[in-house]
Amino acid sequence: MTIKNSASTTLFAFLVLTFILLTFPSQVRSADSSEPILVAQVGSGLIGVVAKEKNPEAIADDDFDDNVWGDEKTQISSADSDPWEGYNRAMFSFNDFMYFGITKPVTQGYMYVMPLRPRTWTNNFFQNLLYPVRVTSCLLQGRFYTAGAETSKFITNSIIGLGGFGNVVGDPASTMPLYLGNEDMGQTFGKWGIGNGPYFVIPVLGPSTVRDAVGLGIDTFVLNPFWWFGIPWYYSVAAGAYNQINKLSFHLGEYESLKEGAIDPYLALRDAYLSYRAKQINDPQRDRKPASEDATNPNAEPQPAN
Amino acid sequence: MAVKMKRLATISLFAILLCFAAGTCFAAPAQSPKERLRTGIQDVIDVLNDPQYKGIPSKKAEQAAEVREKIKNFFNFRELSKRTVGRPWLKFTPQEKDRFIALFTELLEYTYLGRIENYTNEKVSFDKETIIKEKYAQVDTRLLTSKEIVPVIYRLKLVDNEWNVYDVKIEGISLVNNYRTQFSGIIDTSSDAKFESSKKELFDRLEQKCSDLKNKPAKK
Repeated sequence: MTIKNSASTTLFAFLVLTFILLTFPSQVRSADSSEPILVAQVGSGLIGVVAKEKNPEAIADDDFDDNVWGDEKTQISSADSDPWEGYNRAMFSFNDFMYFGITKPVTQGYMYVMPLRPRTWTNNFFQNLLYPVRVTSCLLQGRFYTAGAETSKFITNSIIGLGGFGNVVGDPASTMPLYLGNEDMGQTFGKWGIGNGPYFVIPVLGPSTVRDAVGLGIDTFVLNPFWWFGIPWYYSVAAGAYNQINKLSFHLGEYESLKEGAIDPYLALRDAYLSYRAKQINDPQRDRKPASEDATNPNAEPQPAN
Repeated sequence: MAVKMKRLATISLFAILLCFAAGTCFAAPAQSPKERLRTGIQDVIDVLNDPQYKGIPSKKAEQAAEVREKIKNFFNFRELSKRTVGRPWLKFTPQEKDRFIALFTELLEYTYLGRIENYTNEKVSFDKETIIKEKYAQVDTRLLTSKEIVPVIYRLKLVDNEWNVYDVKIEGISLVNNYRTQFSGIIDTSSDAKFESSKKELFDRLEQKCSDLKNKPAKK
């Protein structure tokens, strides 16, 4: 009896929480519209000028000083701390070989067999399933609006979106676009002020840092529902691998284009990874805004498809 | 005579006034960073959408050449090159600088102009501009594709009274910084001899890359 009682109390608490969280997304969007739009700051010279004010002439003519934009922090962190460069370069070559030898052909075969729509459904399903990973990180970072948005998206897509196959909310074309930010434990640690640590290339999975690798471990083995219900590990691994292949089918060609223009692909990928992570961590709560007034107009006259 | 003098004085006064007016006009940049960028990008999109090139493979090279010209109008490749090299740039001779700019521009063109056919009516939306120290500007834009919205940040510098792009930042990844990381892995400034040899290696690798990209089999 008591068990039943406590269960119903839990259910009630959950429903109340859900209701509260469901009300958040509207605030997410209204917060966006009230954001002041900075049109210009002519000649103020205040942003990012901190250390070098003693010598104004020196800054004025120093073209190599990126301090003007106040993002030198991410640039510095992406430039050093690679003590395992020998190992990392070897692993980079191995991963490169794996990508072109195995992963890419498999994905291309999969894309040939599987049309776009089922792949999108699969992607939505896994995205929905991994909700615990994202919401935990949101909560640990104190991003309650985003946690609410994630929760409402999870509930809506689970119920109306047939267990997560449909993406009823969340895609830009839908009626209720939500900015989610794809939080993970690595970002949470970064938000808490924990540095990247040495750059570290994980076999098969690719670029990471010590911090992000630890975060990934927690995300994969603790927060991933695959491990919660006593499903044998090989099923979980197979599902995870399938998710990765399915996901890659939407991003095929991105690595190739980064590599194509690079003089040193290893350094290019390292910088890209570290800069991208730094941006994810320092991302302000940014919403999907509607197109602003002055957009380009590519459709002056409709073009026939090739 | 006096009348003539007076007329001359009036005319010269007007001429002087006109000069002043023109002077103030020239002192202020012709276009704001955002306007400049918008015109530049619109020009490129117009070429991409130009029906005379659409779906005609034989005209692809011609279209690419025109896009390249349009991009050169609002990109400052000298500034871009200088920043990707970083401080060692100061030790480059003028000839080396020119050679580097030519090679690096070529590299970027080969890398990015091949993607022209991937253009499918994406729109660019311009959000805000921030000007710092009167000569640096940042314009926040978003690339609106059918599937997603990608924030792209352009950084411009005022050189010779014109705002021109010197860096592009997509998803936090800066074009300049990405290449600077790569180049600083090659350039070694610890001694003059090392600097000379590493500089040679840099040029060799750039040339190698350019010829690789040039001879790359055309995409299906």
